[in-house]
Amino acid sequence: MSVLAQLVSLEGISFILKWLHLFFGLLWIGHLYYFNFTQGSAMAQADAATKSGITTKLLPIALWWFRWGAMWTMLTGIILLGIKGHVSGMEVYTSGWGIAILIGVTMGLTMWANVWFIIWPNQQIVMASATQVAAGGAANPQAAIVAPKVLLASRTNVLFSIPMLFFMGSASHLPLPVTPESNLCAVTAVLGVLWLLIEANAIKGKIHFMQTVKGVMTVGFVLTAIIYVVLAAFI
Amino acid sequence: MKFIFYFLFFFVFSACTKKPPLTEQLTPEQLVERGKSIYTLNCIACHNADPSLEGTAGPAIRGASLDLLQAKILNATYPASHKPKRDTKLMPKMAHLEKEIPALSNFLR
Repeated sequence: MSVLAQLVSLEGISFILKWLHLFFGLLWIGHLYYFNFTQGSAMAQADAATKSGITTKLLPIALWWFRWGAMWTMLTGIILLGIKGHVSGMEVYTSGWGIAILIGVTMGLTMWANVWFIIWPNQQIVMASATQVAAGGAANPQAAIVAPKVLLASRTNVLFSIPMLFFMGSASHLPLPVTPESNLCAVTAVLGVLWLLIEANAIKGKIHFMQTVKGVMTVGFVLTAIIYVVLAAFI
Repeated sequence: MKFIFYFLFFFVFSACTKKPPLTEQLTPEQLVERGKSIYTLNCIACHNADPSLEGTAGPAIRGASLDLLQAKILNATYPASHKPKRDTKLMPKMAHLEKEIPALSNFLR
């Protein structure tokens, strides 16, 4: 098979999609980590004029790359998942690879939904209010109400990103030992409840341990370990 | 909260009741059936669901010898005399499948 024929085969197209998935994923998660690890700390030390400049000038650009990075990561990922099911059969989703990848997919899709349905709509209110203030107007009181919701959803995405990266990577490189005795119902139930509690907290709860960068990173690594222990217990 | 606790408790204990059968106790038909399950659950992400066909990342492996299965699964190597169909070295060790090799071998015959 020539190099060009290999590139336009289903295998080649899958690889191109994986490459794009990683590219958009880096774009998205890179901005997520920038917002949480860098910009948040800088804003805490900045004076009012700098804060206003960041919110009205930098943030709109960064959020454009952030949310469209999230969108294209999700779209390329869904297509890749469909191709895998088409090529290997739907039973591939109950294989060791499938279980690990679906854990990552669940977290990735939740993070994408948090970006588009919580972070972006509320950030628009915050940015519009800051623009109004910069032009000499009054701040929108709604901005102060929605800002903590943005922070909580953003921190939850950092929390999910740590196990998400682990399980997406481990799907092909650290195979899960699945046998006919593996209790996949239990895995789904326990991890489903855990996911539900974390996401319910992102929508209606409190920031708890995620207030600081150190806190959210610690909880992220602990969550990864908990998921792995659940898998070790039931698989 | 109480409901969630009981829910998790139920699944934890229902999971602890299953033990894998000893492959020596299985009939040849059961061994083939078990090999098919193990193959589906662990191999088809790379090899084709039909082992006589090429997979996305792994070659056709219908007829793979016991030596080849042991070398690839336990050590990610090939038996000395074996000429690999692909030289990609993509397959990681899957040592957790050690006890399942006889079943896999029977299925792939």
